[in-house]
Amino acid sequence: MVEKIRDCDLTNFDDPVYYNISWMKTLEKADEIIRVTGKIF
Amino acid sequence: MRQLKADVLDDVGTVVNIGGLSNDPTAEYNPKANFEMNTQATQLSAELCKKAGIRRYILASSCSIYDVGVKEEEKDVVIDETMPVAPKAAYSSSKYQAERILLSLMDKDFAPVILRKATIYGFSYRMRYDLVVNTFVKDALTKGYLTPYFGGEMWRPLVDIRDVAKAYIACIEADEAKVKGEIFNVVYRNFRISEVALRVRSALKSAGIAVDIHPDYRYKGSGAIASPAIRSRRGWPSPRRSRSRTPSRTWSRRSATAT
Repeated sequence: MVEKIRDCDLTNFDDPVYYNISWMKTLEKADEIIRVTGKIF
Repeated sequence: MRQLKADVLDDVGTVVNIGGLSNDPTAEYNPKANFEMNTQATQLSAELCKKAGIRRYILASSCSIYDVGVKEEEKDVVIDETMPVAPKAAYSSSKYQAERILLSLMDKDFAPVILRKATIYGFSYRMRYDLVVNTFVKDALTKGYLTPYFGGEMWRPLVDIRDVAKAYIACIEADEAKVKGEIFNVVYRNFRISEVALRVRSALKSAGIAVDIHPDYRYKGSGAIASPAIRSRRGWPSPRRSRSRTPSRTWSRRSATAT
């Protein structure tokens, strides 16, 4: 597992994408932005 | 999945519903979304399947349905699919309700199958670091120590992600009569968290990575699950030995390559 984690560059362990709660909060923030701006980028 | 349209089922032979929220913290963080996705969307998709003539529907459920909670140690025994359950937490309740709904929809043309999965571990390209084994590996790499909560006394049923995938495939390919309306636990073994920590530390140590264990004594959920049904009825392949998939061997190969 460690080899694959490193080979696939999944070592940014603070990235919210790897944690359910953090990812939900990130999506909620994105949703709030989209409601105001219509798009993020 | 809350707004599923019928046309997504065009040319579909079997549905495997792995959507929705997937643990207690997320369910309690947003109970409304949890109920909508885990319970209501299961009903919606199952009803659409019936209308589309899709016979087999496999639901990703959870062994958390068996969790008896704090201060219920006398009920904290190894249990299987035949045991009565009464889940109370948002996540486990939503999964149990989905199971009930799905089974109520079963008829001669619709064959639901339910897999109650243990806590999964292992690699994926969309990695999860909030599952106990994966968390230990992450903590070992980032902090150099592991933290088993409640002294690591809790039991946790575990299963490798590759064995879970095999279980889904087995249920897709099985004769309908063998799986229709069945509930299968998908479990490799039950471990105390303290043993998991020791195994991870041992595996990493053999690869030259020093890891300490710093126990904490706060309560976390516990459960011990048996899975005789899926093994006997489906001829499910023998689970992989846990040591063969701990990080040590892959790490050893990487270390050898690097040096």
